[in-house]
Amino acid sequence: MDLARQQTALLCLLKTGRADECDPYIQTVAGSEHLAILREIILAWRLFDIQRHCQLTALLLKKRGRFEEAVKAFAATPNLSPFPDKLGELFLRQMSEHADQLVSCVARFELFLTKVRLGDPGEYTIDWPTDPKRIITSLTQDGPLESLPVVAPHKMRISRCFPGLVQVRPVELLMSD
Amino acid sequence: MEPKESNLQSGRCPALATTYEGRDPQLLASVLPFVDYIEVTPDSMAELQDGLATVPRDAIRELEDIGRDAGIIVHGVGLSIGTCGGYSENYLRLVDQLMERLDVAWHSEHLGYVNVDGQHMGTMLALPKTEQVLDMLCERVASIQRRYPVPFLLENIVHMIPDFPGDYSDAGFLNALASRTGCGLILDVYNLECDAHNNNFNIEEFLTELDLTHVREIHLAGGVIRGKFKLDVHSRVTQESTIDLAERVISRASRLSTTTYELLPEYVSKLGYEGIVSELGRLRKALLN
Repeated sequence: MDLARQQTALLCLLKTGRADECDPYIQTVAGSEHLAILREIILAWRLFDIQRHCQLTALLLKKRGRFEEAVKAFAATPNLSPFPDKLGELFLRQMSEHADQLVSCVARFELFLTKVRLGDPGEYTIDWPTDPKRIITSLTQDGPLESLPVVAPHKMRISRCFPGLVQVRPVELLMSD
Repeated sequence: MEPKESNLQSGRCPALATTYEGRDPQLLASVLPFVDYIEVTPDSMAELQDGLATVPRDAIRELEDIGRDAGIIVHGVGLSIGTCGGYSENYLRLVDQLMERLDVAWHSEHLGYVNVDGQHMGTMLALPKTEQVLDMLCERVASIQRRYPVPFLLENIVHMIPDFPGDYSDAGFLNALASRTGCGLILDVYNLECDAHNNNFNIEEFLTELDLTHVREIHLAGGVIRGKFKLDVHSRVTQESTIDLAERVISRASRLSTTTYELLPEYVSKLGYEGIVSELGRLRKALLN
């Protein structure tokens, strides 16, 4: 087996845990304790990096008991960046499409706020199912989410034009404007 | 702890260095009085600007400001010199940015690979010690030596998966690489301990076979044991066994220049600035004359 094929086969082992070659060396690695612990270490670093760069989204996913599952699925994505901030951005993009509307909103909030902080001149809008200030406060203070009103739609706008970069208004007030 | 007596010209042998990844001026101010070199990792300092990895100007300015207080060593993780398809030009562009603005004493990397087929593996793997790989590495080392007018060093890494049966022993491969290219070696003694713990690697046999005149730098670190495995995570102070091993290498490596204590930025707050300074003092006392 040449070096190129060996490296491709090892990458596949690291990503999936499965050997796609019947080469004896690749089979040895596939059956080794080393591979299992190495895959755990890689996942632990992914969890660590994402936790650091996507704090609110990670906190919410943890509260939902879905953080590790989400990162595992994300880690299987091809072409992940070696740069933690890019990795964080990609994770937030993926979580922006999450089926849980609150996870999607929090991920978009972190994603857009980071963009605007870094100088993006655009304006971004997020439709929240409830008051985002209460959600964000609850996450940063590690409070319960259960007590929040289920239906209280709010519109959040994120732009350099707003003091503090963020403007939030209840939808009912916007309709009466 | 007493600050260092003077700067690099003090003639102390070996000199002492530690890691600094930028964005923590208090850490820099704390360690500068106690080290001769600051080791910086371009990949860790880089930010994405318009989709391209770049070392931010303020990070470079901070290193420029170190001035004569310490020398600068560039030590990367993203070159991926062993990737069959070619090493990372993106990484070298980061090194270019540092070389343009700073007086870099030398540049070093790891003898392994982190990218395959354009994908980052999330870890670094060691290379098969074959003639084919040796030829490939020698060409690449020569190319890097032509690109930068400073010495280039390569570091032994931990063996995270079983070794591919090759044509050389670990030491024999390093000897051949260094003698054919003239590159120096970094001997990470904590990595040797990890390999001994995880793979029954025979450190004494390795040191006896290794031509220690190629070793210009030693790396020291402390990590953790998880399950049966000793992990190379650079998260703790150095264990006595690692210091003992470093002492043995120092006494035999006649051209050794520097000993570097490595700590990941993620663990700086756990050790604290005082803890890091205290560790540097402990290493200086134990290892430096």
